[in-house]
Amino acid sequence: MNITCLAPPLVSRPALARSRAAAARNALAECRFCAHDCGVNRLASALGPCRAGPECRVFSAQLEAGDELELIPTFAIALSGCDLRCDFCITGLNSWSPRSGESLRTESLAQKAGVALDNGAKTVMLLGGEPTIHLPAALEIAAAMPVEAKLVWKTNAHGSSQARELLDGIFDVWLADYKFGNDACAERLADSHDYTRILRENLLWADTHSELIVRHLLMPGHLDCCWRHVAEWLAKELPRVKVSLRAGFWPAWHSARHSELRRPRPCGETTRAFQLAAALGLNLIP
Amino acid sequence: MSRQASHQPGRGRPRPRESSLEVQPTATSRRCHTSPPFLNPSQPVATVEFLILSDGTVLAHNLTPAMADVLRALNPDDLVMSHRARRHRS
Repeated sequence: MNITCLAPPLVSRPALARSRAAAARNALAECRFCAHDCGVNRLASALGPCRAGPECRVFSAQLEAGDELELIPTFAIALSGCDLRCDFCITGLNSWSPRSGESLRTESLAQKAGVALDNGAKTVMLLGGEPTIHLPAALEIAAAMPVEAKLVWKTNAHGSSQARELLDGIFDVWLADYKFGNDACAERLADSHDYTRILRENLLWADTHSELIVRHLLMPGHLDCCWRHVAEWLAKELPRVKVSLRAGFWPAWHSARHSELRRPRPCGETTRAFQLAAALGLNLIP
Repeated sequence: MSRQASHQPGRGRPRPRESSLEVQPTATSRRCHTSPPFLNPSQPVATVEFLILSDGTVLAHNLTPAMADVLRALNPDDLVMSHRARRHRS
């Protein structure tokens, strides 16, 4: 499906987001928002890998302070469902099931976000699950936010070119997870194919279209196969990008399916991971 | 996020987790929340999850500013938590 998008500089963000939301709603008839590229008709309740229909549900909406310091406090809106199947997902049930949570009420969320911003929140963050699979709703939420709000798109960076086109110019910051340093780990832990190519394509695009922060969660036993490859690629291809190295892995959801993920991250690997980042000159942010 | 604390935070009773979701632990995980729908404007609800390790490390998910205040009070030497706490942030 071809989608005609208004160019970002021509209209205000709310107007742009509203027009994109309408285009995205129509695109649900042949959904290609994520890299699975399944093309199912979600308007007719056909289900692709994400299992999401036309409805968007919300499993959390609250002020949070656990993200990167330059983004907090943030009013974080978490949409149910995801296109990846990470066994270690910390919000497993809500992320794997688009039927979790409550029906989206955009006006109520906008009101709560406005209160949060008035009380000192720096940003409004859309996350999941994965918000890409709910692009129509995500864009409607963006349209309802105060014009001056700094909007953060927290994503697994597994979206399609169509999704990127719809998102262009809407969000101020892309906070993108770079989870796996190789396709074998991505396939084994998240049932994701061709992960590296897709991920890198999204990161390179985001770096030229918005502010980008790349986040990596250190996983036990994956320092050399994942973090080292992620760090080396970032140092080479995105040397000035902000990198958030997260050391708080805990064995959530189906982590026990994988022997190395049955424990939290040991201190020794964490120290080595930060030493590697320093040696490569990465722009780490807290 | 890794935080040092010597106290198990939480208000209200921990909600039992479904057995299918449970990972046999090396530590204790609890979800602390109140029950009304979080989207009801008259009933604000915040949810924070903690994993407390045997060495006293507290891992937090969906950390709220209010809970950051609590963790900072428990360990004032944790400089990173100071930046996350409301009362200290500029």
